Amino acid sequence: MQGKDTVVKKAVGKKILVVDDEEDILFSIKTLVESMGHEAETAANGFEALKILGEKKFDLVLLDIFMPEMSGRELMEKILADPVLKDQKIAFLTVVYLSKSGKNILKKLRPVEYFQKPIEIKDFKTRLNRILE
Amino acid sequence: MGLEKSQKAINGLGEEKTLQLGFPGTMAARIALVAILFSVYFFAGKFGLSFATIHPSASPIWMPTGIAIAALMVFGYRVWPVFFAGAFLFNFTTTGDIPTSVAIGVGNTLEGLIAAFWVNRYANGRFAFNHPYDIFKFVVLAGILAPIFSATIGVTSLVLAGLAPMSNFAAIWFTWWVGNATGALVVAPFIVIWCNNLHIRLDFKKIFEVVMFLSALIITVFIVSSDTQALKFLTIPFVIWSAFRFGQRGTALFVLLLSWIILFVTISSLGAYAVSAPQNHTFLIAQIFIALISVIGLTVSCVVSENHKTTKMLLKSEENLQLKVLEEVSKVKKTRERFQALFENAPDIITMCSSDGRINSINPAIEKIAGWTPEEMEGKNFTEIVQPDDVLVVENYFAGVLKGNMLPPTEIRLLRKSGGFVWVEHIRRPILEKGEVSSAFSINRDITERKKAQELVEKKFEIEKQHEAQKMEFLTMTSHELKTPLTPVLIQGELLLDGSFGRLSKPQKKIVEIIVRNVKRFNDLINDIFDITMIHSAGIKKEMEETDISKVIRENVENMKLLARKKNIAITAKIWALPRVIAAPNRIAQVMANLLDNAVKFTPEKGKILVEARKENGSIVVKVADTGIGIGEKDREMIFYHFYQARSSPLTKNAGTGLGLAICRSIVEMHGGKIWVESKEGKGSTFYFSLPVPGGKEKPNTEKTQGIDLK
Repeated sequence: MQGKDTVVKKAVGKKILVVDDEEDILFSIKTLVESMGHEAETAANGFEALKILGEKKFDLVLLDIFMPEMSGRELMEKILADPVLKDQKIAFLTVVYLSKSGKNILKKLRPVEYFQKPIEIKDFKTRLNRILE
Repeated sequence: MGLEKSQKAINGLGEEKTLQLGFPGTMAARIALVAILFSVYFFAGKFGLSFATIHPSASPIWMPTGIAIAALMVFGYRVWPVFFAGAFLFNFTTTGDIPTSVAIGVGNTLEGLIAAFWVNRYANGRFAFNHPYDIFKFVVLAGILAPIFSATIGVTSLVLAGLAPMSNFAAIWFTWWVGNATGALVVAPFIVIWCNNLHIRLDFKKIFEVVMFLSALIITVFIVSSDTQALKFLTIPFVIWSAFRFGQRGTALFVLLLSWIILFVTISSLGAYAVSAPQNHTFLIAQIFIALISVIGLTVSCVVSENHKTTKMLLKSEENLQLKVLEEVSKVKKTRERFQALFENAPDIITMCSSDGRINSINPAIEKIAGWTPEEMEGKNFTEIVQPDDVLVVENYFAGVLKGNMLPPTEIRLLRKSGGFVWVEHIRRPILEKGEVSSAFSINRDITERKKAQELVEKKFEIEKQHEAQKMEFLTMTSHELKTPLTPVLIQGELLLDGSFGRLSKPQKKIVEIIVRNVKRFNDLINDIFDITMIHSAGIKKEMEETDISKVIRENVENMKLLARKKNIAITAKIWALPRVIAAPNRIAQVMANLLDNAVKFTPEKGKILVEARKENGSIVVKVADTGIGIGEKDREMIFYHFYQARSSPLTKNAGTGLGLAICRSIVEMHGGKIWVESKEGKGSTFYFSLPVPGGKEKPNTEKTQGIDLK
């Protein structure tokens, strides 16, 4: 644990890929992440995300779970199955409570973080910085 | 059939009716009896004395002795005065001498009484003629010995009175004795036998035979009447005929008749009423002959009738035996038929199998249920019509039964002849022979209907489950769809507020704050509605697991401490050892969080919050007490209902959705528990909730209280 007086070092300039099917959410998260001094790119679905991930390296992928065509879970499984991408840090963004089985599946996939939408900016910033450090 | 024949034979013999005579019950009948006895006795005596040649008081023909003996045997000793009086009278009228008449009366009476007593005592009484040995005894006791008394007393008194010369004593005594003995042997049996049965059953055949008999007798008598010797031995065949054909009564009657015939013939051959000693001698010889004939006739007829009776009895017992056998056979047959009908008509398939599993017999239910005929099943192994998947079940069951185990029924499938299968409930039991399992029977009940119902219930359950899943999915989707638009609003609003896009003016800041606060509130509302709906749709049941409630409480208290410290509120927790219960841990945590959140929210600075958990009366009771503003009496019940918020609450700005306590109530109630509040306005509130412990009531908490202070 960090001491009370230790100022959390602000990680700056990290590359983050945000994947969400909602354009407004994509924009908002991008803005938020950029306000923290990170670089952000967006993908509107899993296929686009995979394409981008194939081209560039990211420090973190922020992944929505409920997306049409390819869900966040499926995308994560694909990433973890890829020999090049398998060590990619991934965090989930989700709106709903997860059922027990759903949680168990996610536990097996071991995302680095799990953000409940709508996010509280303060909390989000703290946790995101911790991951990126 | 032999049986019918023997039955006919028995019917032919029939059970003979009897009409027995005894001492009468009414006085009139008694007087009549005495009168009849007296006159018969008296005239028989007078008639006898008319043959007295050797001495006026001693006759070779002396029926009164027989009458007296028979009457004393049949009517009892009480009738003796009749004979005393009779004897006295006919002697007195003969000799005119009172003392000798009294003595002879005593002798005659004594003779009858002694004879009757002996026969009663030693020869079966009035039934003496039913058995040859008793007849022999009768002959000796009543026929030979008893007359000695009469003869001795009578002759002695006569001699003593000077009415007879002493020199003639032996001759008179002998005549007296022979006459009396003959009377005892001829007349007494006749009276006793007829008094034993007066009923006469005559049919045409019998009458015809009697006529033939009498005709033959009369012809014989006429032909040989001149030769008494020839007549005497020619009567023997008639006695035998009578003994064989007319029974004891017929024979006794015939012998009596014969005695008179011989008497008549003897008289007529001698020249009537000649009074001389040789005549007396002839009469004596005739009397002895009659006595012998009587004994022979009685004995032979007795043996014949006894033989007859024995045959009858044998036939009867044989018939009874046959009837019994027939009865038993028909009983067995009936039982068999009943069981057969049960077997044939039973709605369940019943099989009897040998120990190797081969079917010995099977009832027609098999055809109705599975289409196989009993004929084609017999000799087959039962497993041949069992669905292959179930064969092992049936074989194991059978093996268990052969070991003598009583196994519960099992459900198996029988193959239908027309294809497919039918569900049956199969039960098998061993059949023991001499304590060892020799075979087994099985009962197989068609449970198609039961299975259908079961499937229906399962289907219904499946549909309900699907509905539930659909509902959950709908809820999840609705919640997702409702919350998604809130996300960018909140992010953007907060970004505006934290100055990421430049400082806002005061009114601008206030406006954005209002937007953000209300969006957050809206988000909370969605969460709560989602919760409440999910709890009610029993989604909570899926989350139930064995839970350590004390751990849940401790964690929640720990989480709340930071927030409480900000308001300088102290939280104290006292948690006793609690049993593990089946609960949804996250939901109980939610209840705790809600109650603690409220407590902190409504307690002013420097207040106190006390959390306690213990086992009480079979439940876990958790208590959250604060020193806050309290709740008005009116509100205490209502706060647990949807969207209700206490009016007294001055902190409406901080208030939640109004669903928090309603959610708590739902969660606790879904656990089978209760939630309630005690409060004093201005002093604080204490919230309680209980969770039942399964079987908790049987063993009250005896654990030592172990307070854990988490301060």
